[in-house]
Amino acid sequence: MSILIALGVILLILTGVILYVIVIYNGLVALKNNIDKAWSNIDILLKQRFDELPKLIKVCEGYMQHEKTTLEAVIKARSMVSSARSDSEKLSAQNALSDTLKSLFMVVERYPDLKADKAFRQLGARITEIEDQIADRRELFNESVNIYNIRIEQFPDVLIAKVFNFAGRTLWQIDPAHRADVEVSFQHT
Amino acid sequence: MIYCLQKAISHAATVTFAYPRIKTMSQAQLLIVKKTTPLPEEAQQLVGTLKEKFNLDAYTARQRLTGQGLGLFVKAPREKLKKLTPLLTRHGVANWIIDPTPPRFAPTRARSLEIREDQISFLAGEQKMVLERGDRVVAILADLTGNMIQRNLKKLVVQTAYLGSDAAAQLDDNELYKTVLHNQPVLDLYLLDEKNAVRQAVRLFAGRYDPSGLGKHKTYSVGGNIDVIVKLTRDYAGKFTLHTDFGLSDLPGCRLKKIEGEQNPDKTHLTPLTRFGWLMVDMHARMQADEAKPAVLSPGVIAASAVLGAPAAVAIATATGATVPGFEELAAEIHGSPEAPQPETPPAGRALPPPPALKPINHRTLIRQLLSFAGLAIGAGLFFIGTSGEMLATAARFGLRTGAAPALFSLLFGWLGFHSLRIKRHIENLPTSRARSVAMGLVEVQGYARRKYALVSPMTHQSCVFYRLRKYRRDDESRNWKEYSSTDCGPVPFDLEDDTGRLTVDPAGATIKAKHRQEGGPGQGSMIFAAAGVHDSREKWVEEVIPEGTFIYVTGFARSEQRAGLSLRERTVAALRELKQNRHQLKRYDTDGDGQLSEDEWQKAREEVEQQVLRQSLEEKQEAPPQQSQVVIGRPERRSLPFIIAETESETHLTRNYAITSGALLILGLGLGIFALVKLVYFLGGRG
Repeated sequence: MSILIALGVILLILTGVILYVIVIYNGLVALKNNIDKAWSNIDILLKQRFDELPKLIKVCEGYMQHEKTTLEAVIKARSMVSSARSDSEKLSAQNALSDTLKSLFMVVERYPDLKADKAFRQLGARITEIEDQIADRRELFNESVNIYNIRIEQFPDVLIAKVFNFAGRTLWQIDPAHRADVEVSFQHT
Repeated sequence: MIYCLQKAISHAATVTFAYPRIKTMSQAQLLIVKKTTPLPEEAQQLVGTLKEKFNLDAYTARQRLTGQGLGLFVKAPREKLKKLTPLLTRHGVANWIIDPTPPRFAPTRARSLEIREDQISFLAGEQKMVLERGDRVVAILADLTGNMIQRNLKKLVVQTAYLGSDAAAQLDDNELYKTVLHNQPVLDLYLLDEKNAVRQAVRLFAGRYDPSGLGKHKTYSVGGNIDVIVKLTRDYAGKFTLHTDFGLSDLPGCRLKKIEGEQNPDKTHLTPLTRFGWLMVDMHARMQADEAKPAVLSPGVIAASAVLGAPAAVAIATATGATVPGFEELAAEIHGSPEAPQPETPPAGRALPPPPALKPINHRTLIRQLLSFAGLAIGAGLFFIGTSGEMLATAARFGLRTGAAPALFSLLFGWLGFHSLRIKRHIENLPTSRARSVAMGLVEVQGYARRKYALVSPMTHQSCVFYRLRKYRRDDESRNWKEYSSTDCGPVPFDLEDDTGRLTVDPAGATIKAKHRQEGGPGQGSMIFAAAGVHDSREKWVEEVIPEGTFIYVTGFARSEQRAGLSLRERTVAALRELKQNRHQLKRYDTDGDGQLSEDEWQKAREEVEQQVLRQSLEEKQEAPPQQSQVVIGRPERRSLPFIIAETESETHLTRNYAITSGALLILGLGLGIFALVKLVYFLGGRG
């Protein structure tokens, strides 16, 4: 009878452990998908920025007859984004687009009429807003990755992660070139 | 009793803030001001000037200008006060310099009265005060219980909660009058002579005189009889001034203090009341003297007209007793000149709309709930009908012996434990989003709760985003508290604000964890007026509140309420179609005048339309509220996902609570499971 009781207790504990493993496994799956979702949410904003650019270029064209190079650089960077395939290509194309946009906004300083244009100001504000949101969502993406990476290295999650091959994910690290001080040039062509 | 708030400073125009005994004011005179709430912007500037020019403490000056009724601003010799008055007047503060007369006698207590056609006689034993038609009277209607001050404060608190401090208003004269009459009114009547000096004075305590003299005017209410006497006195008197703000006015020696455990509070308050009466007589005399003066347009009033505009300056002139012929024209001229600053509109109160009415329950949900309730009721009914009490007891004994009952409880606790564990891990797994960049879906946000509706908790009158009120009654036998009523505010949406923006939270269906908890007994309607602790009573209430401005944690499902409009392309196509149908408009683009649009001409027209549509679209976007303000966090469609609104210091605190709960439930479940197993084994082995 005691053996029966012992077996029963073991069975009970085993059931509890299995349920706990299920909770951990489901948690890890949710975390992995959270990362993918966070990445996709950044993509949505990048697409929004991409769609706003033609409007900005259209408004700028009217004023910046002498800044064809700058405008062409923005258009080229935008087309690079649309033709990028891999994640790394997309990332570098998006970074290039951000750089050309920064140059564009710097050059605008020389065109007071353009700066005063209501449509330009509204577009500028919209793009800045999207840029802020992108920055926030990058942080959120990194936070999701961080939570996941910690989980799969912590006990007891590490056991489940090893058994079911949950591999670590890479944080979105900024291109080292962007850590350098920005050199601003006002060369007028 | 002297409260020295600032030391005397050796300056030519230096005056000191002090509350002296009236008897000691032989040299000094009082500068009395009319207090206001909130302090107008002009008076705010005044505080700075007073500090700069007269070295007066800004905080004290502000305190003495803010409030209700009259108040002592400073005490100083008249020459010094005269330097201050134009400045106060210029900044819209009505003020008077008075030389207070020490009270020579207290009003005699009247025991009865007689009303005749030409006079009212107030009788106090052998003494008598006769008020004849046309006499001058200063009346003080006072409440010695302190309830009026309490009610005024309560109104201020509630109004501040609903409308914001800028729009909070104190009791007006009519409300003050009614409040005094509803308490324990005391009426002092000062009969003045030609020189506005006190000739005689009587005091009537509500219910402590014979009202039969009122004749047909007599009422069955003690307050009502006092009201009648006030009205009759006003009718008989030639000049009648009534003051109802005793206790609210901040005048020397006239403060009403509530002393705990005092045997006879009325007696203590009679001396301040007498002082107040004599000061009001002095004020009356001063105002009469001002009225008698020829109209002089003081430089202060002219300057005030430029700053405040004609109506304000007229008000100042009226308040100071100056009547100014042709003043309005002059003020209008100053006001109308292009150089003159425009009067600023007073800041509007933060008036919030009332909380929305509860949404009617969805019919399908209602039917489902009713069916499940009916099923449960029928099942339980059949069980009870089919089984007698004895059989029920037998079933319970059998359940316990076989281990079925503890097994059921074990399953229940185990399920609850795992549920808590899942929620804990959900909270831990979700990164915190920022308000401005929150994505649609399950999100976690943290920030400060801000009201969207004027929600105020019912007992403690706190402006809040959520409240829950539970009422308990003490059981006579067990002496334990038993809940007999539980209500909450319902799902009232509110805003959550972090350092990047704001979004809306719709709490319908959320698990709400409020930390602010207040207990009270019957009659303890507000924590401000309640004594500490709970009254020894058979009833109590417990109020849980999430006050406005509290840091909260929210996990829920974010949705956008943004309305989808036409895309830019669709709008451009529509605009071009409209252009094609308008021959008159098309003619504008026919530059060569051949009656047809060439490809180049059409391209130009198209570009112009595109630009026009783009600008229009951008302008609309600019006018629309920012994206985050259209995001609403609500209950997820999947019921298994968490929707939590918690007032917490940090996420760790919250998850710790869930960890403790789940741990306790799982251990309990496991224990009960083992117990059920043992029972089952013994039962099967034939030893149960």
